[in-house]
Amino acid sequence: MSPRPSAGELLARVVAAAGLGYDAYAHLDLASRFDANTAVISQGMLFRAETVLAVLAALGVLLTRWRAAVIFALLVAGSALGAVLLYRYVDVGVLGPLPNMYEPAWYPEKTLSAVAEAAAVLALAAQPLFGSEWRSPGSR
Amino acid sequence: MLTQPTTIVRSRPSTILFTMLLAVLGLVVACGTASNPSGGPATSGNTPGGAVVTTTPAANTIVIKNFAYVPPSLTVAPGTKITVINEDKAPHTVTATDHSFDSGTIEGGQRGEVTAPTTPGTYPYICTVHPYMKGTLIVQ
Repeated sequence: MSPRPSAGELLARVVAAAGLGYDAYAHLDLASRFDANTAVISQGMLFRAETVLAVLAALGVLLTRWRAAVIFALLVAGSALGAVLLYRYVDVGVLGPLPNMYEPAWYPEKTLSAVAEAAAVLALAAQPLFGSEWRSPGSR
Repeated sequence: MLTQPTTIVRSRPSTILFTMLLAVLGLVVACGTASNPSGGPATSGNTPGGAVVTTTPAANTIVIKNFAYVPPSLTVAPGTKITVINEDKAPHTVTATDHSFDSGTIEGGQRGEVTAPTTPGTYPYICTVHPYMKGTLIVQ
């Protein structure tokens, strides 16, 4: 493994963490407004869960060089971006325990959150390009 | 002279991350509990002195705040023009379920208007962007 990450790798990790951080903030800020939209679980609770996952993912990419942390963060940011795009354009309806989160509109906080998620996805997907060897959680 | 052997305890990264996860979970739960529930009227609150202040929207006005209509039920005369004030960041509508009136999309921070039907009756309405938002217009 490289003793120190390159500047490019560091920048990409900071961008990814910042994107995940804004994603976490936006979801927590909006959560209470969506508590009324519920099936088995409410949209507000899903937003709070996303906040927890995004903060954990951001910490993972900032504090470790684990491959698993990058993959986890990529899944968190990618699923959030996929969900916001899906529910913006497709009236999915109630899906199992999930409420219908169709919201055919963009507004600044939602748009910025989607942009932040996209930036995080790109920055995380670029990690293998830096060529550094990654640690697995068990290694020293 | 004998010295006590020094033991250095180093926390594993996984332990640190687990501790951070617990901290984030606690923070999110605390924020969720403290935030304003979406269903409740958003126009009341406490002053620093402890007195409860309730703001009533002007007559013939529907205020949208925190994804809720205030008042949730409004009584007007037939044909009354009703001002709709969207205090949220997200766009909303005031749309009768029988389509007898429709404000169209009102962007965050903007105002709109609907005209009450000329036939007395009870008219449920929703936001077409967020259909779980419900209100009632009573024409008499």
